[in-house]
Amino acid sequence: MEPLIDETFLARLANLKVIVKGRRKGRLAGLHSSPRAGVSVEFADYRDYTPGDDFRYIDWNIYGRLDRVLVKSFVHEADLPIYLLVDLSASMRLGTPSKARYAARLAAALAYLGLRGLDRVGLYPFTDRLLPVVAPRHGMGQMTHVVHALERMPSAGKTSIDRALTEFVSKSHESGLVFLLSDFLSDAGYEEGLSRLLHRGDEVVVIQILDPKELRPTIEGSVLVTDVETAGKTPMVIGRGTLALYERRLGAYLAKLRGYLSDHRVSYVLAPTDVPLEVLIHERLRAGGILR
Amino acid sequence: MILVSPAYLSLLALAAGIVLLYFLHTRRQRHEVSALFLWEQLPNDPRTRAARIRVRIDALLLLQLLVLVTVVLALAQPAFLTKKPRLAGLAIVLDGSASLRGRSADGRLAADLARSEASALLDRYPTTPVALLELSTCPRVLAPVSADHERVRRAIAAWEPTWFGNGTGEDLTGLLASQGGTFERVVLLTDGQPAFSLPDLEVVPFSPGENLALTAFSVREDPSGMGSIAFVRMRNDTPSYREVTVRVSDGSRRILFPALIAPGEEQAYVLPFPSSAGPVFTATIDGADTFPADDSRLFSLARRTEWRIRIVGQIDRYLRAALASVGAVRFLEASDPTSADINVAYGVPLPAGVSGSVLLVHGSLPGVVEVGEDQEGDTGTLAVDAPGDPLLANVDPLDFVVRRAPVVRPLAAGVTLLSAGGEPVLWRADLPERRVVLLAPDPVKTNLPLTVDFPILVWNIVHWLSLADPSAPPPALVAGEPIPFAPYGVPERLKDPSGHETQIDPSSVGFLAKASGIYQLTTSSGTYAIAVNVDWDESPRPAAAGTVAPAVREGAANTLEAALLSAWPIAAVLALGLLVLESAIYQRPGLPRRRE
Repeated sequence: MEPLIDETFLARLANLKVIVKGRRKGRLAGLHSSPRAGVSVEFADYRDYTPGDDFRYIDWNIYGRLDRVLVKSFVHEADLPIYLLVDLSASMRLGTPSKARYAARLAAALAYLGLRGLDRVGLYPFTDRLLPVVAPRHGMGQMTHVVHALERMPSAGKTSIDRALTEFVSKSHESGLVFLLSDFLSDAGYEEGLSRLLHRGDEVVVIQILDPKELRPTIEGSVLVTDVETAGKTPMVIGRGTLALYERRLGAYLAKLRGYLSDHRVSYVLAPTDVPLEVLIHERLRAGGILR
Repeated sequence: MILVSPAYLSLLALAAGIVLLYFLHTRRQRHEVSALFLWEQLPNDPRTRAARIRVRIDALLLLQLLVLVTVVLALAQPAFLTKKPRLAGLAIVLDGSASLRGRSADGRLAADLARSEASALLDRYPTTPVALLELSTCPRVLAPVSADHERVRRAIAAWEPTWFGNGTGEDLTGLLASQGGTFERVVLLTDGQPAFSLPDLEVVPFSPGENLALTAFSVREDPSGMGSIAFVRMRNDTPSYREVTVRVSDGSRRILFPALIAPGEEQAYVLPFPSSAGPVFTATIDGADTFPADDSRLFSLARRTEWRIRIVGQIDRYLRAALASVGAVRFLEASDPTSADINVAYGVPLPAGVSGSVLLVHGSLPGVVEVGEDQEGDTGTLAVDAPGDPLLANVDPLDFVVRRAPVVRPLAAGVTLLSAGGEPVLWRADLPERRVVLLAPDPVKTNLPLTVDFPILVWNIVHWLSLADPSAPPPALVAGEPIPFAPYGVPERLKDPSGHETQIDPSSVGFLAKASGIYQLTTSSGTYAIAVNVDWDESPRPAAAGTVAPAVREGAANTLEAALLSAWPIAAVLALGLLVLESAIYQRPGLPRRRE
């Protein structure tokens, strides 16, 4: 199986940063502007120099020893807790590659960006409830925990976004940036859970991951349509007319979702799994103002 | 079309099972979705492609049935009756001579080409009775005339050319006659045009490759007794100048020289081997060519390789040592009944009834020469009466001192070579039945045994005495030629070039040399080296410019006959193709997959 994330892929994320639209009160050092006065000049970490960095923070001793241009980071900016909520219900295993795999790779990339920006990153997989979590922590060591957890996540069970988000709000006491990765194909509702997040002050980004065949199915003939989560079945004779009606119904469902999210100023990105992850990150997430 | 195993057709009943399974099996496919609520209550599409899908499903069924039919057909072994030419008889004649061991112009073994052509002829006439014959100096039938082509093919595969020479037209006529002689076609597969022609004989020639050959090699003794003279001739049958190294050896000495030889040219050399008696000589040339067998030639002088010497009377150790230094010498007791090559009578007359050449040392031979008492007083200086005689070759007689020489009375015609005081000291006679040499003084009363020239003198004497063999065995033979024992005596054993020795029945009259090399024949009269070469005519020569190889005619008088052509492989391949097609259609996206 293709590795979840590799160095080449990470190298292409070097110039990206997670954008937070408002000022947030971070507890620890970070790169996001904080409403609190920045008083600390405490050294935090080294990172590779990127164009635009302040020359004053280049460590010339390190350059002399290692021939590498590294920049010293200082705790003078607030950090941001980033919560990666990943849907692991049975419906996420559909598609090639599976939606769950695509979501896992995307979550790993977002975790890397967050940790590189000195933020705390936590992983919160869910189905119809919250699964064991990786609590938010600083440092690249956290990346190992996140990737390890993403690699081991099985997709099974039903989806209940409302219930999962309610549990999440009760377990995480600090608001932050919430990436909600799901196919959102559930009639169990999502409004209540999202409302709880927004009410707490979280900044929410919804990334809806769908298989292209869910957007434009090609199945025809006599079919027993089966729900992978509920095992419900519907015998059908599907033709072009049926598929057109399905696409119309799906379009209406997606429009309703987008409308709700737009009304609540929640960022939304549609991520079909046939779109390469790099394209999604570098084009769609940047275009959506989620990354810079 | 006919079926060889029609019983397998009963397997077609399996088609009913396939059809039954098809109709019993649900054709509804299962499709998993993430959310059923998006699909529920969608109206069915009456204009769906289901009908077309159904057709495709039916096509799958049809393909499965076709696969079954073709597999059953293959098992039933279908065969077609075809018309193949048939002859009253076909004689395939393989040139079995040594030249077929060479390579053709395209680098292939000529024997392989012959096998290939023979197999092609069998393919062309699958029902014709065929005889497989080999033509060489020892022609033979490889497979008697028969319609059993498998037997003929086995004989072709097992066939290897001989080392023999070319057969003649009479040989081929005899072979054909031995098989009934009723052959509509007689095809000779050879590496060149035969030297004979027969009516209706078709020749399939293969172009021989480039070749350098020793086309002649012989050795004769120098008439003066001064060793031997070798004659070498070689030919360049390549299109370019070739520089070759020629080596001629008598086993102890070797003459080596380079030679540049033009395309198509023949060069001959005369090479002296002073004081060499061989008897086995070897000539070789280097340089890669397509027929290495003629790059080395052998010659054996008609002389014993071993001397059996009987000494009668006194045994002087100096004389015995000088005799032993001549070569391979076996001394016989005076009482040994075996005939000797040379008899040495020392101080006594040679007994009557002893045959063979004679060296008399201070002894007489009745009827030939009588040796009396030594003369009184010093005999004076030794005189050379016949300078240049072979017996005095490389000998300086002036070193000899003979104080007392006997009175000698020659009774037969002879030549006095040395004399002292008017009496012969060294005398020889070449008689019709034997050769005789007389050394008149007693060696112990001369300085002869202590001189350097004494062994040389004895060497000359022994070779001169053995030069005249009573019979003249052939000096060199070719493989495939019968070698008679008679010139050598009563045969006892024979050692072939590979070192294998066999006992010979004394009543045998000869043997057939199957390969080239040196054969060691031991008879009642000695051991002889017999040189056997590959036939001189076997050296391949390129076809003359403009020579067109005659094509094998197709046989205008051929009649057509039904032959079975098996078709089961076609059915098997068809079944496999249909199976692949069925699988491809089944795997096509959008098609219902029943096994999901």
